[in-house]
Amino acid sequence: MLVLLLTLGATIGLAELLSSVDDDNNLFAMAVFIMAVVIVARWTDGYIWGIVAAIIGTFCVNYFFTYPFWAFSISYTGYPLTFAVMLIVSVLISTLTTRLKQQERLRFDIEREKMYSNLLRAIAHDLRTPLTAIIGASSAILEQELSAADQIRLAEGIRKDAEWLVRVTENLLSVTRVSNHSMIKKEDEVLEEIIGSAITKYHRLPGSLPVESDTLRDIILVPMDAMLIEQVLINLFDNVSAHAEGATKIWIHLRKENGMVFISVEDDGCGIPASILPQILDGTYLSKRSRSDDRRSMGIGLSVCRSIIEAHDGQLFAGKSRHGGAAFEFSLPCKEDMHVG
Amino acid sequence: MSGKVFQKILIIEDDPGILNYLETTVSAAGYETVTATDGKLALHMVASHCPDCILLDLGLPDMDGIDIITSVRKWTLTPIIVISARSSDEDKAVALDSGADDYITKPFSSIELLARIRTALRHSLTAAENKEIGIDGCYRVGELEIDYKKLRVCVRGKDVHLTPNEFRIVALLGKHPGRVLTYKSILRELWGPSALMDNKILRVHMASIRRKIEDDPTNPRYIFTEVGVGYRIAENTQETDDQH
Repeated sequence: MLVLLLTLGATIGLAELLSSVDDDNNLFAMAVFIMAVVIVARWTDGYIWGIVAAIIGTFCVNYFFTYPFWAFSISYTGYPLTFAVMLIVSVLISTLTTRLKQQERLRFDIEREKMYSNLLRAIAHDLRTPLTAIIGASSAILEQELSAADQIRLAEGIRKDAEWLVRVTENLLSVTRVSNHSMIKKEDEVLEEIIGSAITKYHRLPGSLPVESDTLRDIILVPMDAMLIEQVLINLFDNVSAHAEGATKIWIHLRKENGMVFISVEDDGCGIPASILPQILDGTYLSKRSRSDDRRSMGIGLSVCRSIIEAHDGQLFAGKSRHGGAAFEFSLPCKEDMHVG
Repeated sequence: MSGKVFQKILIIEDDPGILNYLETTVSAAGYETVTATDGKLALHMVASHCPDCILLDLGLPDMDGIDIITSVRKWTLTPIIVISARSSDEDKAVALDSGADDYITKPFSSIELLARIRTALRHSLTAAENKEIGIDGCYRVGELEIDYKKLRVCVRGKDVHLTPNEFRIVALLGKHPGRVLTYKSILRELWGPSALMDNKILRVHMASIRRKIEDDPTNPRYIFTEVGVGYRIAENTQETDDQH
């Protein structure tokens, strides 16, 4: 609506200016109005606004720029024809523009649909394997005569798989929060507090590695949804303990540059082959893997991290660590330092 | 645990699977259990059984868990441990502010649950104030010492130079070791109920305190952050919580 009014207003002004230069030629006026119709069709979504603009445009030309000026007239002979032609041209243009835009949106929808189904496949896959193991182990305990040691071993397996499932579902909950932007509640948080809490939670998981973090001299406030960023860190730590063979320790390196803070999670494990680096962040690595039953897929965790970080206007990078293993670095916009006495 | 009067735990939970798990775990640890699966029954049980501790799931079919906390708190100080899903932070803060003593997030291990129950029971025996302070006016945990008489904080015997506001925050936490104090309750306690303070100021103070008392602020030993809820100071425990 606003677009429509603004455009038409501007058009009338422009046409008025042009016709004051050349009094006789109101062809200018018509051309300018057709342009206005195209602009309206381009910037509004729907077809109705385009047609409305076309009709108003035609009347405006009649009112302002054809003889008699500043009045409607249908007496002059060529008028019905001009009116009809201009209306048809405007409507056609507006229809075409709208259809073009719809196609664009359709393509975008298909793209997103594809991404969702990829994600769903990855999730279903991640859930199935541990569930099978849980059912198998629990029915073995219930139905077979097992030694106490075997029972304990099976129960440990059940716990491990269930803990893994919890992490997968937590990631899924984060995804629904991120895809619904209104559910992200950003507050100014002190970065080291979130890092500290993520480390504490990570250390409750079985098989966790020691984590050493830089501390920045200044207190940095970062606007963020603390739960989600904490989740990103836990995912990155967890990836190290699950995938980085030979890793003995995790380092967190922090640096500040041009209003952004960069948080890098690094390890001294086997690293990531350069050939899969680009795929690893967008979740496509998972679907291309040859061994489809390998449970510990990186796919979901990392694509969740990426969407959380992008929802915070940051970026996630993967690369080589100065400690010999892999490095995952992400950036977040931060505020001025706070100095407290 | 034999030869001892059983302490009674009321479990309020509507999901039969989790209720079964809680009941088994708690009674295996030597407590007597009573259960309620909805809010109305729960309130009735609190009045008739006078439990020593209440485990409360916030998501009940017939009543808001917060309402249960408020109505129980009208007449008894029985410790309440709230069981909540991870996705509902504000609920935790609201529950603590309306009188719950502690919260535990699903999913949790039995070790963690039992540790929380022991802590809650111990606090109910020593009343609200920290008993250790009563003895010589100091609270000590690890190498941290909060001296309430000389109004100072020491780490490894060395005076830490805190600003007055920083000291008040540490002192407040030290009065309730092991308990989560919400951002709101800390702000209210230190700057009054009508103070227009936001959490940001508190976070900045806390970051500054950590730089002074912790060796590694990202790996705190004394003051822990409960993301989205508040802060908790370490507690002196003879027992370690992660024993098997």
